[in-house]
Amino acid sequence: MKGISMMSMRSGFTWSVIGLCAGLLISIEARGQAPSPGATLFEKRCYSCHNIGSGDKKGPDLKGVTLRRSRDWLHEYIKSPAAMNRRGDPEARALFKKFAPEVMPDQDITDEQIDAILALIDELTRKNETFVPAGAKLSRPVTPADIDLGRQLFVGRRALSNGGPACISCHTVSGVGRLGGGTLGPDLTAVNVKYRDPELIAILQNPNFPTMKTVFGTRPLTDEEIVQLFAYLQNVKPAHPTTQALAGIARIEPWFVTIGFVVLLGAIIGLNVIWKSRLRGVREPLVRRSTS
Amino acid sequence: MMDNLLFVIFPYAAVLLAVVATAQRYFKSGFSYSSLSSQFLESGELFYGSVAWHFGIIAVLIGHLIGLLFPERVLWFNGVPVRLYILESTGLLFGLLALVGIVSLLVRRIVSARVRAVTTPMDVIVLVLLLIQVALGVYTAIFYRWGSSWYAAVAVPYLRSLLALRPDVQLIAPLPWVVKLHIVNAYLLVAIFGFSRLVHMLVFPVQYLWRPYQLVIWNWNRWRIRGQAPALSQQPVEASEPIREPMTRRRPAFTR
Amino acid sequence: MDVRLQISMVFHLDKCIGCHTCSIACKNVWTDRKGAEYMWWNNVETKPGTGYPTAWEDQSKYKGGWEQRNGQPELRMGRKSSRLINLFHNPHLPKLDDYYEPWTYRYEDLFDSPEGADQPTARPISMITGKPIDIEAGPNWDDDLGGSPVYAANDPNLEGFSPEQREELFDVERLVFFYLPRICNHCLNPACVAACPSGAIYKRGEDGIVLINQERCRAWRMCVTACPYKKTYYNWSTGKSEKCILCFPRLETGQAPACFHSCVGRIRYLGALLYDADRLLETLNVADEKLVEAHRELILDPFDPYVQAEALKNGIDDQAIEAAQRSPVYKYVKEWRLALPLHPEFRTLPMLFYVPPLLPVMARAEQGLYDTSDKELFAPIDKARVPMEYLARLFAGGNVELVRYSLKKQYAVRLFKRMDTVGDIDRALVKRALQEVEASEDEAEQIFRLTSLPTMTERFVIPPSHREEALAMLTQDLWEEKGGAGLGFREPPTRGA
Repeated sequence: MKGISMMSMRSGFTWSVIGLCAGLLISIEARGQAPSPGATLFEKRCYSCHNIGSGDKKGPDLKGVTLRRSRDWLHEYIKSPAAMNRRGDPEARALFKKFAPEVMPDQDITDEQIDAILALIDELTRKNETFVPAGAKLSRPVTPADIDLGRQLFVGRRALSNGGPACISCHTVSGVGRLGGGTLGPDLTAVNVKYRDPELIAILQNPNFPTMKTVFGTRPLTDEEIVQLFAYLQNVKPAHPTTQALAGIARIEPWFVTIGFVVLLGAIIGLNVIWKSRLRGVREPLVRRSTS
Repeated sequence: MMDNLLFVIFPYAAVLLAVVATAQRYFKSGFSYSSLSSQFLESGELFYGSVAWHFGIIAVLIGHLIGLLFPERVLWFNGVPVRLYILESTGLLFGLLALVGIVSLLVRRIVSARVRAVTTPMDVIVLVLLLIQVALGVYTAIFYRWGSSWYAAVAVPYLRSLLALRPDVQLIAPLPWVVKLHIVNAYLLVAIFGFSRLVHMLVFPVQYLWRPYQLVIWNWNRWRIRGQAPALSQQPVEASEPIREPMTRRRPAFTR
Repeated sequence: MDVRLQISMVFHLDKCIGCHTCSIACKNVWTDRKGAEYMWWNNVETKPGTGYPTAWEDQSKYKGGWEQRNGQPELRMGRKSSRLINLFHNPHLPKLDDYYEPWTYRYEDLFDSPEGADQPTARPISMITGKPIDIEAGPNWDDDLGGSPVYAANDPNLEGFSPEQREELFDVERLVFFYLPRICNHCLNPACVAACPSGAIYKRGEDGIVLINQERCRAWRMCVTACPYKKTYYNWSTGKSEKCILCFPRLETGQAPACFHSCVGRIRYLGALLYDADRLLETLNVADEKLVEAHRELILDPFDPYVQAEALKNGIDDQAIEAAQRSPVYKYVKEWRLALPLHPEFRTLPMLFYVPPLLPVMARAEQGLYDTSDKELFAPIDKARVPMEYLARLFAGGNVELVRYSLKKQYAVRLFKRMDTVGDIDRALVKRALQEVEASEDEAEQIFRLTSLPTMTERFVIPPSHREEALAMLTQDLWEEKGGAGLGFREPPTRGA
């Protein structure tokens, strides 16, 4: 994990500079457009998992969805996909099946808000444009120093100001610690490959994923922290170009398990040593001794 | 809906059931409060089973409790990855120890004829539920690491919301089914607590540490009955007497 | 002076015929329940022998009783904290197999066997599992020296004996053994009380009986290890520990305990003793050989007016003091110094005393002939077939003089009565004998009467327990008790879930 050669370090650095510049450009480009209400809502609530016109993410690309499904269906589904699935709606079932294990959480959303979002989708579909998040911009340009600061935040060395837990609690990236990071959430090594920069920034601002939504809902990242984490996450894959980020979650760290078992063995031996003079019977050994 | 049932209604019902059943059993049939030791019948395997199990599970439960009481401290402690790894490794060790213990106990209870003779269905249920609980816990620790951190971040707020009577199930609803089963199984164990041998946890004799060695009980207040005042040498012995004193006197009491 | 009453016992081992009636009486009254089949609150052992449980006297294995550590008595099991840590598995708990696996016979086999060429037999089956077992041990497996190369040869009291001394004991023509009936000693410094983590065992103040509160017992099974006499037993079915209760329901109604009452040889004596609880600690701290004497010092003279005054002040009623004055135990233990406690070096201050057996000391075999006379006065004592050392290890903490004194006195009484009834012994000889044991003829006569011709009321002097006073304490208003349902509703003691 940590065996970074001088070559890859330098190339990693190069890549990170390129990535930073790209991010800077995109963030500048996205600046200055006043977003519509639907766009604000979409960005905040849906963008973590859905694109419009850029392909499936965790959830399906929503371009043209108003043409595919009826308004009523959409209203009902958005409010509670699970209920529709349970009810046995064939389209809901098909969606659940296609995107399993991802599950769209129930949304606490009004009909007016849904209409605003659908209006946005209509507009972009009509104009054949892709959705670009408005707020997905960094508060300031990234500097190389931010990479290490971001790592400190990731690992929990420095606590997040609003009280959120450190990323390493649930996420791992290549090279973080000898035994890696958490595996409750997905491996974030290639997250900058999976998500384009605006998406990544949007996620950092509003992680609308199931568990993260509730944990970070009341404890969002500050702008400064977003910049630093963005820098760090951008740098991970370039710094470890050869490691494969495994899809999905639940990956074992062999060293961790090995340590556990070795110490377990030691503990059991220790128990035997501490209590080695425990009574193992008096009569039977006596009879055996005397009759042998 | 299912989440609400399992993670909001069930815990409250389980706690209520546990409190009522435990208290009622203590006062009405205190005789049944016993750790029901079977060491006399089979001692060899029990050593590995009981000692490993108890040491393991007590450490694990204390860990869970510390997480419940001081989640921010835990997260701060885990801020240095090495510390996180040490904590998690220690936790895994005790979890595995508990696992080894409970498997050993369960196998022993099934295989040993003498122990079978004193086994009730509830004993087996308790062992199986505990095995499931520990197995799921160890699985979580290995596959969904780092449990100590996200337990403090995700599960503890949920548990606290339960304790504050403002349950928020959204925190744990999206967790993997293994973790959710671990939580539900815990509630199940709480629910059957008062009906099983688990009550022996409540009567752990911590008072033994400061109790004087000897215990003498009079069935009646001799001085009141006989109408005599106690002589000077008969001053009631306080509990602060040195432990070495072989004889001491307890306040007259009738054991009810 | 903290005067307390203790119901104490004397067993006269010269009279014990080893019929085990006492064991059966107790078994039928108290321990024929599920979980208690293997328990023998009263058991009779053959000495030399390993006893029940096997080799119980070997405290290096069983870790029972107290020992002196840093000048203070401490449980041999270990410190309090170690008892709590060992709660999950007591490393010094004797196994069931050290007692024996209780068995019965499948009598149905006698009726239900299919027709065949062989006689049907009733197979032995375990009372725990119900499965057929091979019988390997019983509560008195080495009774009458059965299996002596295995059991008696490993008697813990023989440790350190030279091969010649062991020869003496096991040589066929010089073979000798005696019986040792044992019950709970209801000690003054019980190790079981001290070891119980939940405080379920307690000593009753009124009469000194040690009991286990069945509601408070939590099956931590520390008491089983702690008792050096192994007289607390774990009930494997109910998950509670049990022990001899000295038949306190009988005592409270003026009847002797079941084992005492049923004793065929009439070896058992029961009486009250007054002792000074303030001096317990100093008594415990003396050296092994001095323990018996210190123990005797602890026992107070019920005729002493100062003691009587203190006893009355302490709430002991005058009828109890009067019972202490008539106590046969006081005579055997304090006045005549004939009775000795069992293994005083365990430092529990047991209140059950034994009169060591004279055994067939009168006859020595010489060239195939028995010679019943002797030129030397007490020669038969020193040439007794059971080595004095052995008896001293059992009864006097190694102090041979105490045992010798007791045996000499018994022998002197014999000489006295032989002179009296047979007349073939010189009176001067008898006088010298009595002088040497510091006894008058009157005392010798008393000893004779109490040993050989006691009535039941002379043997069992039970102080009245005045339960009606306890009742007055329990309910402030006796009208409440009158017309009530007696002791209240009780659930039958069943095993917890």
